[in-house]
Amino acid sequence: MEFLPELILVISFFILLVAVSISTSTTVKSMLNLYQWQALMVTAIVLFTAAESQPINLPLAVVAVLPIFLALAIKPLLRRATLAVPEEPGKAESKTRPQLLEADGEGGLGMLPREPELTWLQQGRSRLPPVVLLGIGSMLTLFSFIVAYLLIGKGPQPGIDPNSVGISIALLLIGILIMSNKRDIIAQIIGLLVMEHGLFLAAIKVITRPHLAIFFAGALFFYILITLTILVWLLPTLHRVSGSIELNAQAQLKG
Amino acid sequence: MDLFDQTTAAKLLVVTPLFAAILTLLPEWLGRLRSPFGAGTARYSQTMQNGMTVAASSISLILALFLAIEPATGKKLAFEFVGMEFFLDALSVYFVLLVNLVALAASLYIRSFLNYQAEVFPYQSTDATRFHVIFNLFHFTMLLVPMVDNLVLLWICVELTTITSTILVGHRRDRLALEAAWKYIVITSTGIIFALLGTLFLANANPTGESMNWSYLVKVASQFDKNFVKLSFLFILVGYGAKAGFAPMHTWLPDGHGEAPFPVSALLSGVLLKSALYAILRFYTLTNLALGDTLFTSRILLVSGLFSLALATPFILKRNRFKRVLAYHSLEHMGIITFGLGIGGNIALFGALLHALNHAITKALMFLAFGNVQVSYARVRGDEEEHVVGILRATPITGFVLALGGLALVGSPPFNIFLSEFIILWAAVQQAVEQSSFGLAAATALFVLSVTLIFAGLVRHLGRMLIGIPPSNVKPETVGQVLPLLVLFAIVLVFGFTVPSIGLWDIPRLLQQSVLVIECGVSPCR
Repeated sequence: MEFLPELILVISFFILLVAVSISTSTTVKSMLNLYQWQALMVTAIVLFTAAESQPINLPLAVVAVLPIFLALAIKPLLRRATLAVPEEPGKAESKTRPQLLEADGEGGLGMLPREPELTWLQQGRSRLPPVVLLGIGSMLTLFSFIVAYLLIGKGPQPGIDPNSVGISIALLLIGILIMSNKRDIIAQIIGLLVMEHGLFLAAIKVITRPHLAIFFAGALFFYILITLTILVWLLPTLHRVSGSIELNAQAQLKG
Repeated sequence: MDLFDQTTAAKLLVVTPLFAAILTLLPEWLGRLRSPFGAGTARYSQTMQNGMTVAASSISLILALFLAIEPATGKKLAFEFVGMEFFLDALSVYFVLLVNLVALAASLYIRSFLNYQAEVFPYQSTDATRFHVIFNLFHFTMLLVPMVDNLVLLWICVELTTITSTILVGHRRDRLALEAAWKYIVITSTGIIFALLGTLFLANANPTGESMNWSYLVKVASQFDKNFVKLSFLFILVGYGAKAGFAPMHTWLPDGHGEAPFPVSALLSGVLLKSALYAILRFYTLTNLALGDTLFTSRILLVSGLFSLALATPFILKRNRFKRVLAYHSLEHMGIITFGLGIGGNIALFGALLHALNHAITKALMFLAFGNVQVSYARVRGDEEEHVVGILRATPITGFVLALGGLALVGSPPFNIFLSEFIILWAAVQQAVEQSSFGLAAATALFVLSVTLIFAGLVRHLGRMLIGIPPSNVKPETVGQVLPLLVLFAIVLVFGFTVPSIGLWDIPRLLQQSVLVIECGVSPCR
């Protein structure tokens, strides 16, 4: 088990690399796939960190459920949102999938593909070219590590790894970069999820006292509620009403 | 006063809106049982739900008033309830009062809003049950914020307010409301990540133990690692600042306030922003105690406050939809409060806290009064604001309140906001003179300039709507619509002359004790 800290550090750096890759991706499909890999790595870190302590920290291991749950749920939830058929003006309520299935034969099901595809997967347009994004991502990472090393180098905190602090802050900043650069809502959600991974790492690796780490990780269960509110309620309703996930279509409120 | 009674009152206060949220589900279900065809039950169900929400808000306010008697004397209340640790000092009680006052006023307008929505947006969702349930849950989560002791729990409560308020902002479920809800949740949930990271850095700054209770942390704050504390405060300011509507994270404000149902706009502007401010205040105290002076926090807050104030000015001067103009006023007033905190010292802190209350009441008054206008003008060409003219003739009492409330909002004497702005300005000038600081003098001049320009802005917006010949099909205002407005207006007026002490409720003392909490934490510092 002596190799675990090094392994965790290597995985953490891979998480950072994946975040930079997500920011330079040009399709939502590749962003989603990379996000799922990143979630898997975060889950591994949580499990390894739980295994690091003697005896094994079971409550912490339970926290591993969160990233993997979201990673597995995101595609079905997006598919569900895709199935929210755009509403006709003046119609009281748009139909849900069961209602459409029920209305089969009256043209209801014809509105939906039987094997639903994520029609949004080809989106993910950027405002900036990938090379520029790579540059900005690297700068943000460098900045985060400088802050972390300055902070921990000066302070009397034994056991806090400046790399973990640096990676956490970098994930937060890269998440914001993804959100501000992409033109569609799903890419923005992925940006938010990348930030969430930064928060996971911080809660697990930056807090040195186990009791507090579990407490902070518990708070993340509540944060997931926000993500679920977006994925389960807001996104399908927004798509149903506006018929688009482009941010330009959601820019009617100005001034 | 027996402290046991206070604890019971506090526990009851916590559960009242939660029970109301559950109870408001019942009438619709019972209605279905009573009449399987649903005929005639919707009205009954709505009346019951409305009664429950108003009753719960009234009980909450009474309990909050009961709690406000002791903390004015400096006593603190700490208790454990359903596994959570609660801590109420003067500052908590002050914010609890503020939450309940505005929640009651807003709850009185739910019925009129739901009727209005059914009339103007017949194709949109008019789910009254959902509205009542979420409204009460929103009230519940906002109430928890100033009551919990643990800073991680505080974060969870603020985060829960985001979920409940997002659903309320998007209640109409049309394109604009959902766009506003989307922007709101994305900006505030991004902010909230920073806030949790800030809390986490604070936990790391503390070498003494594992508790995250504020009442414990203030006692050991002097042992904190200063670098981590500074970083923590910056993250907290960005995180909770996004929720409090500080510039440049304010962009959700005009959309959220503008598209939300008007009772919700009153709550968002009046209370939600203050809940985030409350969280910042708790960290402000810890940071100052840890660093040993207020220099670090003061500079940041002063710049942040002035930036919000300056940024709000052109948007208020610009022609815009009225609710959006009111939202930009929230940005302005949060800027003024932050400026007051940045000035520091007991006079400015007193002014800033008083301004939080004054802004909450005045803004609730304005949103609810404009809600009355929307209801009365519902039949006028689909509620387009260009056709909202002649309010003073069509609905004279609402028009009168809107006109004078507008003057109050821009800081005109003899109203409440003038008094608190004057206190902050006085403290700023005093400090600029004492310290012979050119920077502080320039900041104060900028403050005065912004406030003066804003005065002209709102007067222009209001003038356009208040005077003129009203359309013929405006509905007259009812007693139920204007009475709560008059009560709020009376508070606005009284607080313009003095901060009153009424019977058992010594508000100036409560404010002074709150200032002491902000400056010194739990131990007496003077």
